[in-house]
Amino acid sequence: MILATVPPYEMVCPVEAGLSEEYKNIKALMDNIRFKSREPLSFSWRESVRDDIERSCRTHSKTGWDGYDAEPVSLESARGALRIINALPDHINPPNVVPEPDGVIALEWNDGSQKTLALSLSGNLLTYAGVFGGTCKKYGEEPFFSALPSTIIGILSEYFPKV
Amino acid sequence: MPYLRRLSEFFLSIFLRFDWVPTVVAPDEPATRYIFDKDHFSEGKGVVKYAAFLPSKKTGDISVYRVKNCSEWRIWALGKHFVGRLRLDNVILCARADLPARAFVQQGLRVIAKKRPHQRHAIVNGWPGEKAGQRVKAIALARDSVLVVKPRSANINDK
Repeated sequence: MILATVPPYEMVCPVEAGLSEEYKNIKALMDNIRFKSREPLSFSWRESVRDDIERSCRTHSKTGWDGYDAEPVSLESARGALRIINALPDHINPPNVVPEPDGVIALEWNDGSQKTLALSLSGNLLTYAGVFGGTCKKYGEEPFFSALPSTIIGILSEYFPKV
Repeated sequence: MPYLRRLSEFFLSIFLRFDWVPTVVAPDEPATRYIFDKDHFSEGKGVVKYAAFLPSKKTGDISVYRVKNCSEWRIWALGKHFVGRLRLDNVILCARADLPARAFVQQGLRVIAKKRPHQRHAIVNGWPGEKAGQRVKAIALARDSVLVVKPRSANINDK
């Protein structure tokens, strides 16, 4: 049996010719909506955290934003936070965005008061520090290229799994 | 009227200067860290975020106020007149983190009275050089502290 397949509309008709700017804008918006609607729900918190990073860059762009001597949040640090977001596994809780006085944007997981982890990326060096329960402390630095180090994945999976 | 308000604030800042505290900071003394950034605490969860306690890169320490025998009104007034008002950009005081001086000592830090701009001012130094070590201490301090959000209706000029 031979199955006839219909080629996509764009392949049959050259859609770019003779179309207005408005049409192109609407089409781009529709494509974006279609793309987003196909994303798994677990991706949606990433978008919200990205928005928080962007807002934090805007609102902490002046020296002394913390009322003391804080440095403006650096773009390099924001890019680092975005790289971490892209590498995070899906099975963990979404982090909070925390601007630090030295201009670094860190990602923080906090379950209320007992367990806290902070992560930031500078260049290819991931700096992490966490306090879990009474006296359990874990901190240090790890190289980061495209995937999160197993130490960090282990901490996140153990203390901050998505429920 | 604005000029009457300014005049009353001028007299208030003079009145607040008449104060005395010992030079040595006792471990059981209550201290407070004023918070000016809304991303440094969570009102919903009622917690202070660790970043509120991270030391300044410029000075290597953090600034706190010793608040023993101070009324709530006086604590907020100190923050407004001797921390927020000293800045040109007129930052708004949002909250404070209350904790005993002992909490700093338990983290291996030192609380030293530095009586400028006010008798009750102190600095916390002795922070480790590396960022991860600073964060661990800041997280522990944030856990030991109690968040007090500035009441929206409170006018610290109305005693």
